[in-house]
Amino acid sequence: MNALKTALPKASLGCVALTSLFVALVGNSLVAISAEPAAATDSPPAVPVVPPGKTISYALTERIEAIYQAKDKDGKDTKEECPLGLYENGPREQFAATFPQTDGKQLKFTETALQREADVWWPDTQPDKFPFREAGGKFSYGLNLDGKVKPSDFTSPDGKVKGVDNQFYRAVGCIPSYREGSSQRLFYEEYIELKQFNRTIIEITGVDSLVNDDDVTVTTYRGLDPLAKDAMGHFQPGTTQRADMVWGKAFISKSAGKIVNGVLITTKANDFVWPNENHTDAAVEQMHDTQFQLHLGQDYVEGVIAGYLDIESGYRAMIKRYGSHQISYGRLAAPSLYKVLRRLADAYPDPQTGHNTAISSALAVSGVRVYLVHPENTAANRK
Amino acid sequence: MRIKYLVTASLFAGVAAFGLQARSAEPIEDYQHDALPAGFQVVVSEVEGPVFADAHGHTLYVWPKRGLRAGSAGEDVGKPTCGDEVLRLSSGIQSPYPPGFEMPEINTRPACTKVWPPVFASDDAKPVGKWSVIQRLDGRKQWAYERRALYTSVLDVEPGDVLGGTKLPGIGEGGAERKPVGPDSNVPAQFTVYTTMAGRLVTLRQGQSVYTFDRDGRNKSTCTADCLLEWTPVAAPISAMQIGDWSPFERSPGVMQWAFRGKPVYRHMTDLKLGSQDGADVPGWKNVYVQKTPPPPVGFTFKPTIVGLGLGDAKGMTVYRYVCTDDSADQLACDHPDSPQAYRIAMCGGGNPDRCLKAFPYLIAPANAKTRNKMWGTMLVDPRTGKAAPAGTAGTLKVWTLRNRPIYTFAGYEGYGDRRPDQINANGWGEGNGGHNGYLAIIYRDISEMRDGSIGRGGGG
Repeated sequence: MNALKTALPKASLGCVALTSLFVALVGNSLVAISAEPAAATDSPPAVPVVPPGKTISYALTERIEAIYQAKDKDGKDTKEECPLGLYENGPREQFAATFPQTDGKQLKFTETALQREADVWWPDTQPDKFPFREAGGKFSYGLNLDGKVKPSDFTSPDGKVKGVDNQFYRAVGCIPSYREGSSQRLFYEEYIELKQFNRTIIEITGVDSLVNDDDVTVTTYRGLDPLAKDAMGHFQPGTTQRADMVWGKAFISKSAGKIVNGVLITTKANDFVWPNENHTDAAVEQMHDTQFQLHLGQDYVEGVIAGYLDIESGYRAMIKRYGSHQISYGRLAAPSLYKVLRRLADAYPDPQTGHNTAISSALAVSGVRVYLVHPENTAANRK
Repeated sequence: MRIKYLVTASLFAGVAAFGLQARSAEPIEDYQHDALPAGFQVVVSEVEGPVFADAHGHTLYVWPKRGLRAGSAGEDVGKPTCGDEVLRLSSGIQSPYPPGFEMPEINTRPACTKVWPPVFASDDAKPVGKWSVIQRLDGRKQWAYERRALYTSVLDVEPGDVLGGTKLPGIGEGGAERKPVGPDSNVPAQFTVYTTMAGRLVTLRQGQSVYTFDRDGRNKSTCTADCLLEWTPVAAPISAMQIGDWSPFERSPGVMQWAFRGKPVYRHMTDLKLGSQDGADVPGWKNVYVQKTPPPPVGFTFKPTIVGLGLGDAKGMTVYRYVCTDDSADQLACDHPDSPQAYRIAMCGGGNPDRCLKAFPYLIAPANAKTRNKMWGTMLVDPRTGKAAPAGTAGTLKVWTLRNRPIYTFAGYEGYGDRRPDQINANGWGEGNGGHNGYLAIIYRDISEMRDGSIGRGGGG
């Protein structure tokens, strides 16, 4: 549950009565997030509630890779999932080992630093001379994307769900950049708020009840407006967002779903494109066969979005967001990561080569309720 | 009111108008006519607006000090450091790589002053206003503006050339770049002017966009009643007087409003972010430019992208420029075909020129292509080396240029590239988020927040 606790908005700790929700959903193969008792401050309504216009929308305030980290009873990170330890061959370490400046020979910039950057931007799948450390163990967050239980799959941390597909976690789970407290995670948290480019809105329409409804439509949009925080720094529900129908069409995707005991579960896997801008670069990640499992509150939302991440778009988005300087903080060696992503890829084989081009993955998300205004209803267009 | 004109094209009435409009006479930017030392002048350039120039019309530049990842580069006020020595080794100020590697094309690498000739002052030169005379390390005297040492660029040949540096938005991880320097724009104190691809854009000093309305008359506002729920007149002090192209008028008894070239000026209610230009999406409303840039050549297109209004080729595919600052302490630019191409070829093809040509193809210009401005042009390049080639050389390509540098599309490779007009998949492709050595999409209206005082994607992390 650690990843989800990290993902929880500060204002919504315990925002959903998770235990009951998960108990209710154990029989559903999609469920893979462990539940812990929580002080409900935003429980789903006890009686069916129809939102105005049968529509409810949320703006995501957190969207980050769901990374399981084993903890002891005191909450201390045991790193059990990384029996060989965390990955140590970051960019600086690989550079120093590859180009030692110790024998007095004058090395050339083109053959060292520039070659290293060329490798970052044009990686290959040749064997890596630096040993990689994958995450192992039994557990991972995520969803059972293919409905199967395979040897490479994980089990949910509470042990209730088998067949969790998350090979992306296997690739990155032991890289410090992706773990709690890393600069990369801090950047994620900062920029999903600061960057309007990242403003992701989930609109659920056709809602006859926020508790149980067997047929709803889920649509994502990009919002045009800032997120609001209160004086304590907590994200605030109830603000208005305008849907970006001019520049943001690439981020509009639809899916069908149902609501079961207050949990939205998509019933139709579809492709989604996620905006992901950190620092100064506007990057996008394409996720195939995306499934949602979101706990719907009247003011907050929390859960997981999983699917098969297109490796080229995902890798490119990462190295555009973070230069070699930034990923050095967390020992994320981009060319090595590319090799392992391609090796662990588990979906969407290239029709010509047969090599998989996508990798199962999961995002921990949370958000606040917003009122989504479509352009035809803006002040400028009401006249 | 006397308005100077430049023959160019009017740009984009709004988002809906993605196509180019007919050429027409466009007014140029007015500036503050402060006293200049003898031998200097102001030239109004197409992109940067008014810039200072020497007696030959060569644009003047400064090199402000800038903190980089592992150190800083550039010059402190009053302390010119661009010297006569060829710097042979990398500086290591662009993390994560250590210093001490031999720079590319070392045998022909120029000294800083060969690329950026100092603007020397005579022994009897006297300061004038913001202009002063400072001493170089070798004892020679050099002109300075606001105490920053002044240089010209070897890339500038004719008056109005501003090819050495630009104030166009880059991104935060770029190097310590030279910037053209010029007089202040002649705008009232509550306004400021930014350099953008579309022109010299006026905003309020804090960064909020301002607009004019087509239906307004000269010094007469038709925006009343419900219109005022959406648009806020930019008020002028009751004692305001005309400043250049700006004039106050009384929109209602006792309420003064600024007008630009006779058109009342407003803010828009949904511009919640600094630099937002949402109001331009409302029919009849336009952003205020003191000067617009010349249009791209015929055949280019404007189209929506995920970050705003972008430039496209004839098929609408995103067009990119390449930016590069090298890793030496003197931060020489490496984005021009006369500079070492190893940087670009590392990014566009992993060191393989053939892969570069496939992944980032040049935009080929027709054999008879010509432009009537300095912003857009053509150039002959050797596709294998990426260097500019003399006319008559076999195997050269005639390519379109922006600011005398080739421009590109991103065909990519199997599985990745720009496949639709709204995509900008190579934006930020390269070192330092693409800002240090990489490709940036050419964007005319960036919907991102203003950061670090620049329209578009400024700032770093």
